Amino acid sequence: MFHKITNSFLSFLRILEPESWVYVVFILLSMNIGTLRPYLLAMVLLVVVIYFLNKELINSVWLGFIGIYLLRQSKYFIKPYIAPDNYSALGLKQPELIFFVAFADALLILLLYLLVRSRFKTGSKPFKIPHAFPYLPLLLIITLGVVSSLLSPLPEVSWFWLLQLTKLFAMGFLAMALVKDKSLAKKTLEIIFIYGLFLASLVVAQKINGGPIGLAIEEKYTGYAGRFADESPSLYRPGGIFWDANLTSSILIMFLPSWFIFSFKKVWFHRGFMMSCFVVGSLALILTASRAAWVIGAMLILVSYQLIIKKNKVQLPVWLKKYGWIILGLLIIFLAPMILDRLMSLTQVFREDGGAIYRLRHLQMAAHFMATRPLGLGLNVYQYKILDQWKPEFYLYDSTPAHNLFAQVGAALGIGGLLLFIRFIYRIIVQGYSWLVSGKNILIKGLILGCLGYLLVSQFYPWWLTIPISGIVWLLLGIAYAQS
Amino acid sequence: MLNLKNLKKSLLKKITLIDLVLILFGILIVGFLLFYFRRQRVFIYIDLTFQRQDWNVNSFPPEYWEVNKLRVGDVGYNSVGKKVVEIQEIEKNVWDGGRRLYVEMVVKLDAVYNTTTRTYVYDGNPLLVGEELNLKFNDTSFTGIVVNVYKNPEQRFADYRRANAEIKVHYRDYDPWHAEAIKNFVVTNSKGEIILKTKEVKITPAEKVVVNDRGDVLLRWDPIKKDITATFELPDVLCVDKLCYYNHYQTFMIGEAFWADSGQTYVRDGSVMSSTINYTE
Repeated sequence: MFHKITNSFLSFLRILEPESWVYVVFILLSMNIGTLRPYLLAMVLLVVVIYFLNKELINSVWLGFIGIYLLRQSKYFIKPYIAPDNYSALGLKQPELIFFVAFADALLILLLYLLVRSRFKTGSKPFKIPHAFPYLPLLLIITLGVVSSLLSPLPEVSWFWLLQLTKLFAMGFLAMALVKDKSLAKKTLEIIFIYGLFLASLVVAQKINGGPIGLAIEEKYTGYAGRFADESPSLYRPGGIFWDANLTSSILIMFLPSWFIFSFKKVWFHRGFMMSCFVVGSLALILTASRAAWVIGAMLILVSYQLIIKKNKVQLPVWLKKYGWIILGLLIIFLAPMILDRLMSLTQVFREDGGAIYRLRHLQMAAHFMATRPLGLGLNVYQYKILDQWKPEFYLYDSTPAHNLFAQVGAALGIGGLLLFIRFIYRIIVQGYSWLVSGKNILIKGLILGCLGYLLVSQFYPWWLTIPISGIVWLLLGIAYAQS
Repeated sequence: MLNLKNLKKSLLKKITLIDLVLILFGILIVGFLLFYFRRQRVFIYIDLTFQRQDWNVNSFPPEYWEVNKLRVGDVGYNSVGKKVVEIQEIEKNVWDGGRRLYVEMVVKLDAVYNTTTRTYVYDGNPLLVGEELNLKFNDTSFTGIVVNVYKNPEQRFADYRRANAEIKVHYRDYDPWHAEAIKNFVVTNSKGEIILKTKEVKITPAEKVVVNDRGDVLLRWDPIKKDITATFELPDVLCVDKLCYYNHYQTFMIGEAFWADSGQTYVRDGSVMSSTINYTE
């Protein structure tokens, strides 16, 4: 009896890598820490315990960095930028909070130091650039970012966001450099997926509770986790650790393809873990009630099914074949009122003050800036400068970054920057397509479909520099190239 | 001829991903240093008045406890402990019997000059007249509106002409003791300089217009209340275009109500009967 219990416990522990279990414990223990010093202590403990498990300092710092970065906690040196001009006069009391350094940045600096030391000790061999990766446009984008920041009307804001952009690129390069061996790739992705599962579980719990459940991690930087739908004010849209449910749903759709694929393929990850992630993640995606993310998520799952599951002749488990329709039917009945409500309110999106018009005007304003300032406004300066040039009725009293990836880049870096960015995206799409249709590594397929989800959803939301979704896409991209 | 493909290949062999990260941060740091050293650090003076609660309606001044916390010499520090703001002058004017205070202050700021936009910037906020600005002095936070930006204290009133003025104001229906107090009415600013002084006061029984039972409109005199005709000297007023301002905010055109507080008594309402302005510069 005792043996049986021990064996089943041990087999349960084998679902995840030891480092991933440490991260699970870290999340559970730290999600209610609201102050910085205990959080710093928890973070140091996380890295130290991982180090004791794998004896690799660089890998431990890398895994610790990923975990801390995703949780977005422990920011310090808070610097409020009061938006200029008529921002507050309009009653829009939403000063942009700029955070200069976070604990995750401290780990990034440590990691860079260790890697530079290692590079000069071991030579260039371990850190070769994947020949297919278009790194030159990225160097030019940063150079253009420097120029646009120098000429920006709000240089402090632009320099800060250029630093964030450089960090994102660096995260991609570091992922390419470090996550070459299967073991570290698995550990890194498990940490990312545990974060996704935590986010999804929190969304479900918040929906059941009808609001935030009272954790420090929900409140500290969001004020209120989740929001109420614009067109249906009684519909609560849970956001997990974010205020914006759209951000949560966008993050979830980046993980869904991998979760879906590995639910039915017995390689890389534990199928039960992946299936749990997929079921909870899909439910959370629906509960966030983000229409664009729903559509894109469904499309990604269909593509995953067509390109990977079907192509690889994966057999569905017996129970799924037998009870799949019943489960699906119950899910539809359970969610029908909310889905119908969101579909019916879709007509309001096309009203004069609806979301579609709002997004079109963002494009119009970004095009104006590209025409009048060919070298760009500077990074994330757009939302301040539209106040100078348009009446608040035009941008519907909501001065936010352009709700489109290309409009964001174009307004920030000018036409040159936009063309470079398009060139970069084009190269990634070409490479990603070849991986999808002819590659054999299904891990890469899942990751590249996640990146495709980001690209599609960013056509509706301002996710270019938003933490942590922008970091996640660079991590997935980096791991995909490292594993190619 | 330089073969770009070969150059790229040989570069790819030599450069690693770590080098790329260093190059990225290198470009950023070089650009930032260029920006940082192009900026000029300057001490700038600004005049700051209280924040309007509503942008299109005259709002109330702040309550006394907030304004009285602010003193000349109060300083504020940035996040690395450097002194970046200091109150040089502060003018407080009584409103609503002293429960609220009009406030205007001169603040010295450690700012930077943005050579691109040609504006002064403090703590990331452009210093523009009409903008809101939040400053922290010791334990007090004050959000006000920038009224004036200048580099030297001498430039503070560069847009204005100084003058002295004499105004005659008629006040109706005052209590006798209030009317007597106006005889010695003197208002000083925070430096102790006289900005208003009574020159002459004529106190008469308050005029009353009454209507009798036949419908005749008659002039009569109140047995208790007094009317006052006071002549005030305003030794230092600021004029711009056709308008002159007493105490930085109040005009005194004929027919206009004129009010002032000395801290011990006040005059309120009334009507300006005449005003004489002598420009001193």
